[in-house]
Amino acid sequence: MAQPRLSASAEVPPAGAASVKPPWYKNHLWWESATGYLFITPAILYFLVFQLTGVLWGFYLSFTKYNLRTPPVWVGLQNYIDLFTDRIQYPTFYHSLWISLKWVIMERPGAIFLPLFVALLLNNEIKGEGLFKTLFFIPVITPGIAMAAAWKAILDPEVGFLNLILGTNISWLKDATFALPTLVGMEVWGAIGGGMWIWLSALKAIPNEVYEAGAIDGATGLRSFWHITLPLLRPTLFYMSVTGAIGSFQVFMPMYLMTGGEPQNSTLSFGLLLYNHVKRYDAMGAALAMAFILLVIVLTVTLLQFKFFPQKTD
Amino acid sequence: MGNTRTQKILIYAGLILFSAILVTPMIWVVLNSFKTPSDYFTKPGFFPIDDNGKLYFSFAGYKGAWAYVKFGLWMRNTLIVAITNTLASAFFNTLAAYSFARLRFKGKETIFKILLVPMMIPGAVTLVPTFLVVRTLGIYDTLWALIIPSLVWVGTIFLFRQQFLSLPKSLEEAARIDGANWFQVYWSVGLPAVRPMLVTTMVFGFLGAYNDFFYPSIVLVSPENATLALGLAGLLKSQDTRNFHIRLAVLVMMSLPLILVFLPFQKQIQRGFIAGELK
Repeated sequence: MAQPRLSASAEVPPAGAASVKPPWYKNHLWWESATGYLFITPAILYFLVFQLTGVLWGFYLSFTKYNLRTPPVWVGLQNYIDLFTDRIQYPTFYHSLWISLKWVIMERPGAIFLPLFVALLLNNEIKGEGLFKTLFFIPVITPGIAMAAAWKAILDPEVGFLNLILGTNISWLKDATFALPTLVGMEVWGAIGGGMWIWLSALKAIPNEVYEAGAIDGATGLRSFWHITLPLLRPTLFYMSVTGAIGSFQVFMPMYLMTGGEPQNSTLSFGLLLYNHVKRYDAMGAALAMAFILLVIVLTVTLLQFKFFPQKTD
Repeated sequence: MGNTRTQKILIYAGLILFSAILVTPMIWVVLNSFKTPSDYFTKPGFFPIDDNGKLYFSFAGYKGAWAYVKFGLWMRNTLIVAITNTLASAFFNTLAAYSFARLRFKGKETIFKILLVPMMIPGAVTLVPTFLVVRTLGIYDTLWALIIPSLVWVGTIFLFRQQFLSLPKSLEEAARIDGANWFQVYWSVGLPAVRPMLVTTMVFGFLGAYNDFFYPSIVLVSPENATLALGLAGLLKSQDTRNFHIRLAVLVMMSLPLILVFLPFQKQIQRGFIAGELK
């Protein structure tokens, strides 16, 4: 049998054999995992306190009536049912969803294709490319709130820049036909710089050889754009339309700062309605129910996106 | 792509047109911030011009921003929050990312995947729960309410984990053999190697904290805790039209330094933009 030989050698254990366990404080693997856990402790605490507890607690409260002052009262599905069916208590629920959808439909095309147009102009090895990029960069880092303040002055019906330069006399934010399109215009204006950068980097990633090969096959100018550039830009286009739409649907800032949802609720987005229930009506339960309805909408769109547009991971 | 002369001219014309659309309103705003309050309403137009048709610069709005509203205090609060958030979150996020990328411990992959799940939840949904937690922690209506929930961001951890994983291990191993502990390796070998991305995240973090308005408006109420964004929003929401020139002055003083400081970081911000949703 081979065994005796082994047991004979076991009398003198070789140095560092796995069978001999050093005390924990000398074990570098123990130290490594202790350090590992220590380094991620802040992240885990944040997850447990703000995300797990916060969201679960919020989910529980969405089944209650809660005004922050008195203890929450369990009402089951009532908040959800009321939001969908009670048009007296929540007269603008569907309306606000519609406004948010309208916003996505109006804002996305502008925020996608206008920057693409600018990027295509810039992607011609022109002189002064840096200067133009810098100019387009300024709105990107200007604080949104400062932009809103500027727009409020620009859109002023009496002394504002826009009526002055157009020679018109329009109450941009107080007229129900103009208010939402005006906010869309503002948003698109602000998106030109950042969007242009995203497009430009996608355009620059297309190697010149692709165009050269296309040119041999007779694809130049507009045809080259249609048959070569556009297909290669498809991932960016998907990103900006689907991911962009999810973000865009939650719009809140422009409405809150510029119109407060007025005139005649024509700019009352879902995000603003939610915010109003947190702040103005102290209706935490309903606000949270709205938040979780929003979550369901967003997750549905995300899942549909994965199903219909399987993408390379970026 | 070969361009004819006309094509070139059209391209330049288009670019100049778009630049004009972007820049002209901003110039109008800056110039109007130097009008006297009465001229602002009676003499609409680009330039502040007095009755004799001469150009002037009135600082009434700028003085008002310091005297009638608390611009200095808002700026102080904003800088405290923005600087703390930028430095602290860069530290905590990269530290966690380094751990997930390099250290060996049980359940690492599972923990990482669990931490990623909340990224699917949009900000508008987590906002109210965060507000509730902030109230319970007793930091409601303090600057801590803006700092503590911003210390960790899983998206950034994810990004840096990728960065650390893409580094060659040899340098770190050499440092380990020389007796450096894991923190020293992270600090003096890992971090310097990811500096470009670090600058990008910090710039984004600072801009985000400086500009954020939605979340602060929910957790802060006292005027003495207001940030610049909240203060300016308060001016915008007020019905008092006499503060128009102050609004313009505040917005110029809030944006101009930021633009000037961050112009040199154009490349980094661009990279962050393209990495997408860095936030």
